[in-house]
Amino acid sequence: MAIEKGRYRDAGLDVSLLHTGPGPSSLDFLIQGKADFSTLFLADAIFDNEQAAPLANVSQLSQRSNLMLVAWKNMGINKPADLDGQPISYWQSAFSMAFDIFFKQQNIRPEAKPQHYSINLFLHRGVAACAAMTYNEYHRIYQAGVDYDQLTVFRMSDYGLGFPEDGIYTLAETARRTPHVCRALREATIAGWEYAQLHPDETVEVVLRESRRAGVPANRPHLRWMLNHVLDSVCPSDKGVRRGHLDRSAFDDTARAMRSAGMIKQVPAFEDFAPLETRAP
Amino acid sequence: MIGFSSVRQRLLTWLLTVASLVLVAVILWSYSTARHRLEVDMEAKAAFLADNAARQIDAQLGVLQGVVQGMALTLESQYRTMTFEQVRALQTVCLEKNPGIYGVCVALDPENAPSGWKDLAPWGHRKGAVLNYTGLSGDTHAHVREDWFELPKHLGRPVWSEPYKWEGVLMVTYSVPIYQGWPRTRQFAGVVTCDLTLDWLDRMITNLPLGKGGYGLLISRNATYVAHPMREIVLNETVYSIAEARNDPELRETGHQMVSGKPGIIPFKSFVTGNISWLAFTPLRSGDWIMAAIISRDEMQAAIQQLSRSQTAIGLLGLLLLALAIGRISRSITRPLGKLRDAANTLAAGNLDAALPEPRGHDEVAHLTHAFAEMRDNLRRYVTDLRETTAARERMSSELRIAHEIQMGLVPKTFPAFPSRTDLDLYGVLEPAREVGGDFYDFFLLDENRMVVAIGDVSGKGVPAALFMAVTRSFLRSAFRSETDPSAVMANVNEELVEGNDTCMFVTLFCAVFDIDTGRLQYANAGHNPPAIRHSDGSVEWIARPRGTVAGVVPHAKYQDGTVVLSNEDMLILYTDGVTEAMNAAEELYGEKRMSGSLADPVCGKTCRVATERILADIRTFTQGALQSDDITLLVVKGLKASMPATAETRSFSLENNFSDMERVLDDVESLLQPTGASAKRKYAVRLALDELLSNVIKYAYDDQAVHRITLDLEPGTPFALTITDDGKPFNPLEDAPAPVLDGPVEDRPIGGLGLHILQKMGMRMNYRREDNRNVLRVVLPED
Repeated sequence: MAIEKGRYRDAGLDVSLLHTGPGPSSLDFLIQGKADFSTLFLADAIFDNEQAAPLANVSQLSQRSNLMLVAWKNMGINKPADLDGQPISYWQSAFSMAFDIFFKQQNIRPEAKPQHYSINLFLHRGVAACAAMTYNEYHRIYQAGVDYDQLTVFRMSDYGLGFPEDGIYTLAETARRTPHVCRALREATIAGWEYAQLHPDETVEVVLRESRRAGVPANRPHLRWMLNHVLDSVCPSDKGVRRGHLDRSAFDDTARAMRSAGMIKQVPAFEDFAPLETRAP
Repeated sequence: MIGFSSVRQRLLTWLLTVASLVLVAVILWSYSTARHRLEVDMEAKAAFLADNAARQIDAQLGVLQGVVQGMALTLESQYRTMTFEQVRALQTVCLEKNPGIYGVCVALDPENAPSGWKDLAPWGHRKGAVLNYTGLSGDTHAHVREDWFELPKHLGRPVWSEPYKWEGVLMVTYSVPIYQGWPRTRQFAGVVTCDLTLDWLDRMITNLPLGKGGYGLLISRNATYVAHPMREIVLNETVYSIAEARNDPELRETGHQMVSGKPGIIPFKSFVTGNISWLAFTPLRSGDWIMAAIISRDEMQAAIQQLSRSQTAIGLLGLLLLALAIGRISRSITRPLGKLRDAANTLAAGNLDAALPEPRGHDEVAHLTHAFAEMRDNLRRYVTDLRETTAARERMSSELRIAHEIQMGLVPKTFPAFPSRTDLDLYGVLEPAREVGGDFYDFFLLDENRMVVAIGDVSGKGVPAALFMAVTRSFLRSAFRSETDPSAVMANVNEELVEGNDTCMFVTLFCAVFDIDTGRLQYANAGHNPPAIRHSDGSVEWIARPRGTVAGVVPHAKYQDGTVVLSNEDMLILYTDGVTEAMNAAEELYGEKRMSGSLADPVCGKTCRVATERILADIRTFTQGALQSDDITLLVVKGLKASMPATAETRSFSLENNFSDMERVLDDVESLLQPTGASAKRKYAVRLALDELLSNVIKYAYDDQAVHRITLDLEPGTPFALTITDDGKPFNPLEDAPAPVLDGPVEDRPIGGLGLHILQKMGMRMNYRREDNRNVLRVVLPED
């Protein structure tokens, strides 16, 4: 919507969006220099920051966790313990560490299956539970004809594993060199989100148009659902949350959890990781 | 006039109502029947078409399935030994041989792949008209993340993918997993896939003959639209997302039903057309997809409604025609009826020449008109006859009235009858039952002292009786001209009546001669009711005898005289059986008892008129207005002689026929008269008369020497009278006495003649009659 409404242009930025697919990921784009900025989950960014290249958080968009496990009630899954020994599919990315921590906490040893882009394995009942984002897969399952009351849901945020998700990142280098650009991008992006919040119907239509253009299956109810839930994360109604800003304690929680899980060796400095938070605007 | 009174309105209302009801019933019935039939047909059609399309798709998919399974079998056993190029060649051949197949892929699991393969997921496919090759694995082994690899791997069986677009081409992939290590183990090695484009599907479904408002569609097992007339929803929407967008839980439920795996047909409101439709769906045998055909019920309804509308229009037109026809027919009935009614009114007003409408045709109205005309003609004749009859009757009636006048003229009606006479009280009434009747009474004076009274009752009533009565009266009057004895008169009258009496009518008759001076009544009775005598004390005596036979029937009938003496307080009442047989409503007769009871009233003693009216009043009270069946006739007579003393005052003396006894009686008489205050003149006259008359009797009445008694009745009243009665030979001193010798010595002249002369000169009136072998001489002395 920021592009749509010319926020970037107003900010003096010429922004174009690149869509990734099964091939190179958005991180790859960033590292390869094909993109200036990239969206990443916080956990992935922390991981990549250590493993791939120093990254800087330009803006933390999603303040909440939308991660969940969705299970078939009639396959006997009603509580976490029922998941023990069951085939469960989930994403293999860094942010899925929430699941690992969850399983450890609940003493569950699942039969892990990789989850990619579809929920069909779950729909075919090839797995008893699958990973889902509240704003996407959960609703897609509903749109495939599964009533909500047929499912048992485990939200990671309910188990203290609600790590923030999407944010805009750039190479640390870029952030050092052009902080004003980063800042402008952040402002414009947030403005775009705020616009979306105020004009949901228009936003849905724009996204629908883009989807059709990209040949991505989309329908209004689903986009509506996604917008409502994402807005919950990006523009939450709680006071004390600064939109677009990375909350330090959230960062700390996430990084520490990762270190405990053995995913990273050490917690990066907040100032390095999120230079825009600490430097004066 | 508002209301349903006119024939036309009634006909119109009822016939149109019934016809309308019938029409409505027929239309409704045909509508519902047609609808039902069509519904059944439509349902069957939808189900059939869905099934048919499904089988066609199945055929295509089945082919694909067959090819892939065949290839999988081959590769499963061969892939480790085949070279990459051989695999590629196999793919090319497959594509050439199966023009419907878009692409073929053999994708190996990197964990289990043999070396030497250029790409772990070679995909041979078409690109336009030529065959092409793409390596789907690449360095990243991207193929393992695809559903067509993952699903067979984890499900362990062949899987039809969801439809998807690849480079703008809509297609579906069938992947079969292959394993290695048989027979000892079963390890997943990879998948063999075939892709099928779906354009032909779209064409086929679009061409289904589902009628106006009908269409076909295909959904995947996730209810994602694979084929649909709305192109934009294919792949983008599922049945459930549409339901979600439209907030339609019924549609979501429909989606569940459709993917249930069983065929079905359900009513459905299409979000495409908005019509109420049938949705017939059937699952494919291959691929878990569902074929659905939608047929619009609304279209069918529209067609039927069109039919019903046509029927209604025709029906209404028919009703209109019916109304017109009814109007005409009813007019043809009511018009002549109206004319008849007018004619009837004219007729009723009295105009028998009213014009009637001409009967037309032979229907009931024409018959009615004929009948009406006949009735009018009959009426005319009847009225004419009636007039003539009435005129005749009026003539008859007036003649009867005249007859009545004449008859009443025969019966003396004026009272008092003899106004100059103070010695007679007489009153009579005749109330006939009809105009003329058979009763009569009559009275007339025979001479100065004697009156005839008569009463009669002819048998029968009306004119014949009246005529007979007139005849009888005439005979009676003429008979009394030659006879004075009632019995003789009666015999005379009877003879006259008998002669020429063919009709056998008769008359009861009573006639009497009343001596006014003496009060003596001599009578004869021919079968008539016994007259009554009312005495001064109110008691009633009936003159029952003698009573002869009715007159006019028996020839030579004989009658007897009867006598009775009436004092001047006695009243003679003659009546007919109209009095005694007067009937009241209870059919009781008035009777003699009641009559005498009525006469007992002291008021009757006043005058004859009062007595008559008293009786009449009593009769009227008794009958209480019951119809008078017989003539009521009454004649009441009373002698008023002043000299007729009350019977109690009459003094009787008896003497023997010798002079010394005569002297004795003379002295007795004188001593009787002494205290009465009689004048000297009177006393002298009495003595003289007695002396003279008794001497005559002694001297001349007896021829033998026997002792005879002579009676002397003295009536010292007003008039003063004496009666000498002896049983000697008939001797009327008035005629038989020798003539007076007026010269000669006194002692020598017989006394008789001279003495009577003197008595007469003194004003005494003498009356002789011979009765029962006696001489009766009555002398009335002059007034003082």
